[in-house]
Amino acid sequence: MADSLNAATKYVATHRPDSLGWGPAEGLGPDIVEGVRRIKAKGGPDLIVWGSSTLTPALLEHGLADEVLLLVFPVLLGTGKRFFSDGAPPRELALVRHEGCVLGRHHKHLQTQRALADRLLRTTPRRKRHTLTSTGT
Amino acid sequence: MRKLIFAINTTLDGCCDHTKQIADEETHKYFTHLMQDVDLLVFGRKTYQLMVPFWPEVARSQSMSQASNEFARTFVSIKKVVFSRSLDSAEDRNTRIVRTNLRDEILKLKQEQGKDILVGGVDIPSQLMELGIVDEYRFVVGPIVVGEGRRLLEGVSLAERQQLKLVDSKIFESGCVALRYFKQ
Repeated sequence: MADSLNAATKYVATHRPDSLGWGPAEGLGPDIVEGVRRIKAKGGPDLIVWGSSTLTPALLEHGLADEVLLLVFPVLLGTGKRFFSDGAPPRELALVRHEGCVLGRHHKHLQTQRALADRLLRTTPRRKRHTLTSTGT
Repeated sequence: MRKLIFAINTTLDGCCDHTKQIADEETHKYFTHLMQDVDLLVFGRKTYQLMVPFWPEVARSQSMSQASNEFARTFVSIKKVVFSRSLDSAEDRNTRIVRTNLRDEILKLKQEQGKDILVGGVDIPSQLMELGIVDEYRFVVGPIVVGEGRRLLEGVSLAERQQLKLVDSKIFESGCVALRYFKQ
């Protein structure tokens, strides 16, 4: 995992692109939505957004996510940040994969019907998918 | 002791407003099977009035799909308890209105002989979750994001983080995923 992370191009939403010491890295530019569109249009491997409660809502709002991979943990909290913020645009998704097992993890994969993509960890051939995942222990 | 089961449909972003859900045939069948495993349904007034007289009428007329008609017949056949201060009388014979303390009544019902108890709705289950007396959860998650409406656990203040155990999951053709959890 460390090798993959190190080798992948890291696209970063930042006001200080000069500060990106962990390369290969690139700033998204002053307009992150435009920045992501530009990178998607370029081709190349799929993009992954891992977490980020500020970046993710912006990408969902602009329809830039093709696939959502959710890992749902078997815990009730009652409070805290939500993955889908209030006012997230209504959207139907297609469940494309689901893994669940009684003892362990539970994955759900859903794919938006629109296009997106931010690139990220290297390799996968460029497909328009987005994955949300969830887990249990 | 009888288990208290909370079951609800939600969207991917956790909205549990009944108008936003995907009510496919498999979801109706899932809930019919669930009801067949219990012998008492618990509701608050609002959910009760969403269900009654709608489902009893379907049970009489058998006017919907096969899965919905069976859901209706099963729903009608089970005893119900409704927590309400304002409801004067129930519309059907096997419904009892309770005005006393929710916690005491549920704990008493759990001690009685019988099959498990199923609770539906949002307000009453929220209080029961806060009280920590829900034993099992069934979430049927639809593959949609609605971006509005009341969310599951909204305004619920849990005394502590609640660790659950995933015991079963099913996928429906519509993309809904039924998740079953036990309290640990």
